[in-house]
Amino acid sequence: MFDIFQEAIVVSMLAASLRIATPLLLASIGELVVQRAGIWNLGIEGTMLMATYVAYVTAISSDSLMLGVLAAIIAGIAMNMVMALAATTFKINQFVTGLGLNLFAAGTTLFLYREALALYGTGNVKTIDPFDNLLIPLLSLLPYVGTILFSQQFLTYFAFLMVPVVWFFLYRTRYGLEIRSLGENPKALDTKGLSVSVRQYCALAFGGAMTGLAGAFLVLALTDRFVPGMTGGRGWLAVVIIIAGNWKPVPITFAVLVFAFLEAFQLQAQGIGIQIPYQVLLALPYVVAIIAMMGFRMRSEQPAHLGIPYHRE
Amino acid sequence: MARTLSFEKRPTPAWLASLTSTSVAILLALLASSVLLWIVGVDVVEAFHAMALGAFGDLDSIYGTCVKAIPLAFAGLATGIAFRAKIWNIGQEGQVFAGAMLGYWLSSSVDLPGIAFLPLLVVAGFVGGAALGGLAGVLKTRFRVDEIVSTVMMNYIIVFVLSYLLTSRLWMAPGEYYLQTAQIPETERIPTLLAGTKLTLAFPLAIAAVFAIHILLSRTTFGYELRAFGSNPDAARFKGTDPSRMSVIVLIISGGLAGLGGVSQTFGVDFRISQGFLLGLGSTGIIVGVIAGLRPLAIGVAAILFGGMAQGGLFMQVIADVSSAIVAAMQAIILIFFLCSSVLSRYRLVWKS
Repeated sequence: MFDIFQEAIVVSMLAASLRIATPLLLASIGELVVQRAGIWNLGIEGTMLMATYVAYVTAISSDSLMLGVLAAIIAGIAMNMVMALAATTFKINQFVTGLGLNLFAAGTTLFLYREALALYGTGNVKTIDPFDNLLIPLLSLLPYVGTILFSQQFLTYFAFLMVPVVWFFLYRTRYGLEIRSLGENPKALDTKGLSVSVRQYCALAFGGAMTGLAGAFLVLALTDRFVPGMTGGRGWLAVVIIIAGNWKPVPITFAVLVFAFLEAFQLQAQGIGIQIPYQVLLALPYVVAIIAMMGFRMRSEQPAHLGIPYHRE
Repeated sequence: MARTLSFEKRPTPAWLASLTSTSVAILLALLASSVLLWIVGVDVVEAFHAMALGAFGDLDSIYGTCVKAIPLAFAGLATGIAFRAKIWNIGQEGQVFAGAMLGYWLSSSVDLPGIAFLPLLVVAGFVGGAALGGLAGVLKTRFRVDEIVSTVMMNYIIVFVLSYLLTSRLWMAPGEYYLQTAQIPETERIPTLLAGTKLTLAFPLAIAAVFAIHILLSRTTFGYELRAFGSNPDAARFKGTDPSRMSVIVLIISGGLAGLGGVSQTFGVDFRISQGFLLGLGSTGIIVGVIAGLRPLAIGVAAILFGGMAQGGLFMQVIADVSSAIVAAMQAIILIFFLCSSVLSRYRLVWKS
């Protein structure tokens, strides 16, 4: 009896890990392409938050989850276009611009949230019906694996599918090669007559779309309503994950799974009453992030020109 | 021949252009914020009028503005000194908390008369913030952890530490319902300068800090070294600056300044710590530092301006029934427009054939 109980916990914890991994993976894989293109975008947290808000508002007002997803993608791209304008066209310090975007998203969404609350009253916060799980025929019937891997939401499948897609794009296509050389040596590209800024805009648009999807997933699949600051540092964790994953898609995926498992463990530990202050468990991902940075000295794949604006001399 | 529009570096950095671009940025930001207000159906003119009145309308509101400016000045200076050295300390938020928390710990563990307690409190505030900053410095120099990553992570961690100290009831008064510490006894508060206001001794202290950091940066060898390190770390190393030492010292000073901001807020205004009271002071300080061009004296002025927005926002909330959360949005919008328009003071648009 006790064994069955434990099994159920492990299975649900692993399934939850994949669910929790989804927004982290979407954002990290998107940001990977951005960083490979030489832009150190620290605005992911804000882009994601803005996308969650837009997804929520669109979904409740249109009664369509897919429209919510679409709106989140557009919001993500729009936020990253500000970053592109600043980093590529104006060549402004990328760190400060990213921070500015984060603060902008935090302030704006909080303001709009409070105004809506004042309008509708605290008791009448609209909730959405989150996405249903998409059961893969036959495979979802498998014991354990079926529940863990094949009874997830469609965006979770999509996120994991994007890992080989982005890997293939970066390492097996000409455009991917161009993006990678942007981060290493933009001058080489420029002297060949290939536009640096067009490629950086495209990379940021892709990153914005992926971060937008991450935001949509947070609000339309993991919960049922928008709460101010609900991204809770996930965008920053994506930055950590890329460094820990040494700017490579597969190690990044592993890093995502580690952080997701930590969070799933924390949720589960609260449920079964483990005698640790819950704040310790909540702080764990951030502590682990710092420790992971200490451990991972390997930075062989860090783009040499990351975060440095390209000036044509 | 095709002519394209492109940026060209201005021959001389034009202060007039710089002033113009800052003013343009603020105007554009006001315009963008009006759009936000308009979306939620607020009378924009009435709202801004209320904000200006609440910030600078009469003597009381000016005192209020100065009170709000104190922590922003400290956090702004923290930003200025770090960013000048190209050390990206963005942990002001957490360092404000740490300073206030160490101050509170001191206040709850010693029993001293005010005269003896206040100097200790200043030290505790500085040490609390400096501890987080210094930790980021050690992580950066010994373990190659980016200070951006470590300081942001510490922002989250410190809030959980506070939350633990509160929910475990270690810092909460018995029978207290809200998540906040017990009140600080009157003898341990920062004394006010004017009866009936919250303008405390922290205000002249903040002004002193502004001038001290100004002198430190522009009149001392260390300041020269710091600026040289920021503009070209390799050249600075050849001249004998130890990069690790410089990074740690800058992060300690920067964190300490933010910590003073926390102490000034908790012991001068709130008299207790709760997460909500200190939230946003550090990140607003970053904006203050950046739009002041990282120059200490300008940071003092920008802190008053942003303090005015915070104070005016509260008045606006009452008079025009607009959430004061608009202030945080406005301030971030100002930052983004400032960054974009600052390009125009360094570059000019030219037609090239």
